[in-house]
Amino acid sequence: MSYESFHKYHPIVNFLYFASVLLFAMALKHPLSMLISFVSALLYAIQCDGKKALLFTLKLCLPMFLLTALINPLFNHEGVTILYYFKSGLPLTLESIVYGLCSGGMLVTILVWFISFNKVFTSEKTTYLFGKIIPAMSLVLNMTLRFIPRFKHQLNTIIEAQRSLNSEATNKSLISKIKFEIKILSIMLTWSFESAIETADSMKSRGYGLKGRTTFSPYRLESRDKAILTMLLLLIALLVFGMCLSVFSFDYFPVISKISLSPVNLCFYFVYFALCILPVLLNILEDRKWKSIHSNL
Amino acid sequence: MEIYSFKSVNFTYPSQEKKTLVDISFNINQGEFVILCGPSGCGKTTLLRHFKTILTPQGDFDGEILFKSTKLCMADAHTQAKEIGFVLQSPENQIVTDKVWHELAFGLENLGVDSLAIRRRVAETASFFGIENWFYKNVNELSGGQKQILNLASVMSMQPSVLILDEPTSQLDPIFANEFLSLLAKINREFNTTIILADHRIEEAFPYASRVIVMESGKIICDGEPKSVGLELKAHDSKIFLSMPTAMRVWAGLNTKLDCPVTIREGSEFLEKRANEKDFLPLPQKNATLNFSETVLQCKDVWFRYEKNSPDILKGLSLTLKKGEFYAILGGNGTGKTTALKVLSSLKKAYRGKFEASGKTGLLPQNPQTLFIKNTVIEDLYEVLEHKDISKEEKDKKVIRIASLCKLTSLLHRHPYDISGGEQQRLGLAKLLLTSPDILLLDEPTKGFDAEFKMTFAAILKKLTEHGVTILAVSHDVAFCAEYANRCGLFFDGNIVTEDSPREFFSGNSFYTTSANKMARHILPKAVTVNDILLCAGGVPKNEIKIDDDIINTPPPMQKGKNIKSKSLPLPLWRKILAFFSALVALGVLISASPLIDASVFKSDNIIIWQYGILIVSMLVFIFATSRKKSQPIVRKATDRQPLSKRTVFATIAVVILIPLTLLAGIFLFDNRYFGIIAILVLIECMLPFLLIFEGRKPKAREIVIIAVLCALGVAGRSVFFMFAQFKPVTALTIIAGVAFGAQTGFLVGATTILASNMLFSQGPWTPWQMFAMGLIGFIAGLLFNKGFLSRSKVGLSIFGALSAIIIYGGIMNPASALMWSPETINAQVIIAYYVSGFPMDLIHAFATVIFLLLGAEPMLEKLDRIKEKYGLVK
Repeated sequence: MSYESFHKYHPIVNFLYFASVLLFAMALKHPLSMLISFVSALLYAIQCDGKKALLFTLKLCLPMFLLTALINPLFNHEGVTILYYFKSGLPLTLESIVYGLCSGGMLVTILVWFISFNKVFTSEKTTYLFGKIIPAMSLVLNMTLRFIPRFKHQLNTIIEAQRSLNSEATNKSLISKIKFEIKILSIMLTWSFESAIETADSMKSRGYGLKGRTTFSPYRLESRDKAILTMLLLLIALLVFGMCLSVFSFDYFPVISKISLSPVNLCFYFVYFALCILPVLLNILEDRKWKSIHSNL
Repeated sequence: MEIYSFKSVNFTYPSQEKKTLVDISFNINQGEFVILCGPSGCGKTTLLRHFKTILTPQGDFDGEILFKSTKLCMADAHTQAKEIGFVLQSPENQIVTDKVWHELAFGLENLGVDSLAIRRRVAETASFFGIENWFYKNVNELSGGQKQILNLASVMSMQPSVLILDEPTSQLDPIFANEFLSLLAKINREFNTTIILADHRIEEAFPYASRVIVMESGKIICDGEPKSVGLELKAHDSKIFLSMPTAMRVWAGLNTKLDCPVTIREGSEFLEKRANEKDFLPLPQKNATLNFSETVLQCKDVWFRYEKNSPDILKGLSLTLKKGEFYAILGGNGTGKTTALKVLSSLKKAYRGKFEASGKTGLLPQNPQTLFIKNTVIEDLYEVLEHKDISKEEKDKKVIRIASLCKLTSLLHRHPYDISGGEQQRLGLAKLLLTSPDILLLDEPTKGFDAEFKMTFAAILKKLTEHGVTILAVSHDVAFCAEYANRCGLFFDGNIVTEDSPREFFSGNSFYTTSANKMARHILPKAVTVNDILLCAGGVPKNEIKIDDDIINTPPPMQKGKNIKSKSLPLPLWRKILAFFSALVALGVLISASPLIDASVFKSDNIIIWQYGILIVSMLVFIFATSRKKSQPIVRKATDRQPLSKRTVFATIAVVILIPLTLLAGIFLFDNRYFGIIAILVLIECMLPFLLIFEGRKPKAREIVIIAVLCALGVAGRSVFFMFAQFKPVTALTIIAGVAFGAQTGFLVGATTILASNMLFSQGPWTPWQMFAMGLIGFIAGLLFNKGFLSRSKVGLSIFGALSAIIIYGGIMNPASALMWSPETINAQVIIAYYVSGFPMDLIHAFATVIFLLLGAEPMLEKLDRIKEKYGLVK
């Protein structure tokens, strides 16, 4: 696995990056911007998850891509370049095929973005960000995450206990299996609520519900976070400006537009690429720096 | 300085006539280390809970409690939260958040301390308690001992002046318990923090105490320094003495004028002096009449590991059990003792070695609560025999016999969770015995017991061995094993290193031995129990508890009338007919459309759409035909209905304006280009009011806990039960949550369950859609069933479950995937295509939900009703 350090940045930096990248991936339908987004997503996914990311892309995303690309022309008959007529009399158009390929590509890109998102944006960061806006809900989420591993363990303990008590109960038909599951859940239900009374007592005893609750986090907004944050905001602003200039607009119907490579457009594509590739770049730079420090020793 | 002062405090629980606390008066000074002891059920916990207003139980109170010379109830909540630290029994249950650092900061957050100050306090506390190394860990990675230290640390980070602890070590093993107690002593010594500790582990705690308060049936029977307590109790001749330190028990059993010893060292000196006074007799041989010959279980060179690549847990374990013996396995933590029990009970399979058992084995888990299903003890006992082919009389006989053997006859109509830990262990044992095992495997059977419970339990075990049952127990309790086991084995590094009769076993060990042996070894090397010492020194040994052989033959009366549901009026005929036909149609469609039965996937779209429509309509008709007005709406406390806060009003208005604005912007500003984004925005805006109203209400601790528990249940259930892709209990649980706790809770549970479970599995563009769909299911369930639109019956719930899986979940997720997959070509045809392709999945989802609700909804709702009562949500 290669080096990944973007997750060490402040959660706000992480959040802003992923939110902007995902939204742009959904909004920009220009083939070039899609290509930029896909390449960056894949590179970052590989940095985060190694070979697994590649495998995932091939195994799951490729069939999805093909499926979407195939389905679209079946339902979409817009466009002027008619290639063939279906039995129903509806046309198969070149434009709908191209559009199918592009929308398949977009879906895959978003899925690939989520590989790195799942790795970098951990539950801690989610609850931290929620904690600022909706503190009570964030606490619920926090406690849910606390209970889950515990309940899983307890469920397994209950299953074992019930098996040792009733060895016949488990190897029968579907219905008896489901009955067994419900029995387990039912035991679990009482157990979890009874034990959670003490949790509530512990919360009250430590002053939950007093006025003026603050939220604490171990994250600190360092100067490097501020620098990256400024950069991100700048890039996003530029891109929105570019969108207003319709640099990224692209029509598939009725006729596919031409890709214009004017200098202005190229500049904006570069800005988009800079935004998408940012964490990959940061990782490479930090990796280099680390190596140079060590080779100097 | 006087910190607490109780003046003739009396307390009675609402449902009871007897007073739980009777005329309690005492003063506690700053810096004291007070041990509160007494048998289970003597009112210790009730008394401790009176030290902090927020934990005080509801009931009839009389008297006066002063805290720092003002009335405790007058001290404001902030002061109490800060000044009075409370550590409870279970290390697990007290932890609120999922990270160690957050747990340490939790109390300080509540007090409103600012971030910088919290950082400093947390750092300080972590380094004092040695938490630095696991500061960033998830709490579920910690051991039990570490968890309890974390609980102590997170209370101490608030810098309280009093620390109250309710049996904090009862769930820990001896090594961690000692570590914990010495930490308490350190806190007491270094910070002059007052400590009030209730504990069973008196032997280890006594040396630290400056004062001991002994309670019995709600009264204080003695109060003073440890030594003087010994004197007083001896005069009293109380049962309490059984749980006093070994040295004191030896001293009390001998008629002597010497000073009362407390610690082992003092006890040892005491015995020496005694030996000078009077010669010791030789240790009488244990009557070796018990002759065990028949082998019932044998394992030889058994090897086991959990996974192929994980390290071996059992390494060549060899063990032979004879019929009717009581074999105890002792040993440190993590040596594989519990794993050995799992292998011996055939729950796990060894990969090498021979293992033979002649007869049925039964394993009593460490936590007997994992066995309890029903609402009363007696129902729980009958539950074991539910599927056995024996007559009713025989069942009655069996249950009565076992119940009286395990001393449960007086508890038969109590709820299994309302009886004490020792009684729960006996109920677990009784359930196990009803399966008539030949070999009993017990995992830490005496954990958290007081001395009297231990004696009763030992008597039951003795009775069983007399009847030819073989017992194998894994235990940390050396005194218990020395007293009652026939053979003891030391478990280390995956196998049994040495085994012998208790006397030989413990006298041969120098570290791993009983306190009695440590105390007496220089004079009586073979004495390992208090009774051994007393016999040699000419004292009076304590008698064992005997269990009568005669069995009560009258069956205990089953409680009737309570569970009978009020019969509702019969439905009119036309409704019945309508219901019948609609059910028939729905069933027919289900069968014809089910992908499990009909393999032909390639059906024309039209047929499926028709099926879809007919199914939904027929179910709607059915639900209309069978629905009744609910007779008793759930009574919510008036305090739950608070006036709308400004925040809520603002939120609602904002959302009402926001949604159309977003849509308009999508259509006019962006020319319908960013369909996907607009849809997600609207979705989030739809969810916002729920969240903001929840925030605005400032939910109480119990409410938050309930939602978190329900969500975690859904996710844990989803990950533990993998049957089919859609065969998960999430939808069913969300519906149950909505029905039991109302629409809003339903929404939050549904949405949060999905969010949390996607956090663990995989987040994707589908998350907000799923959250919304599931939240809506919970919301509508709460609305329909609580406002009395639908009856809370099995059938009503199941139909609703099916409809919500198909109409709500499928209805949202199918177009959502259309949106996600091909956002620009949204038209009716595409959406229908997605509905059609999603229909089989929706059907499985509906089917699973229906089965779950049919079988599980009623018992679960019944259980939740009890929970609601316990949480004080219903009057």
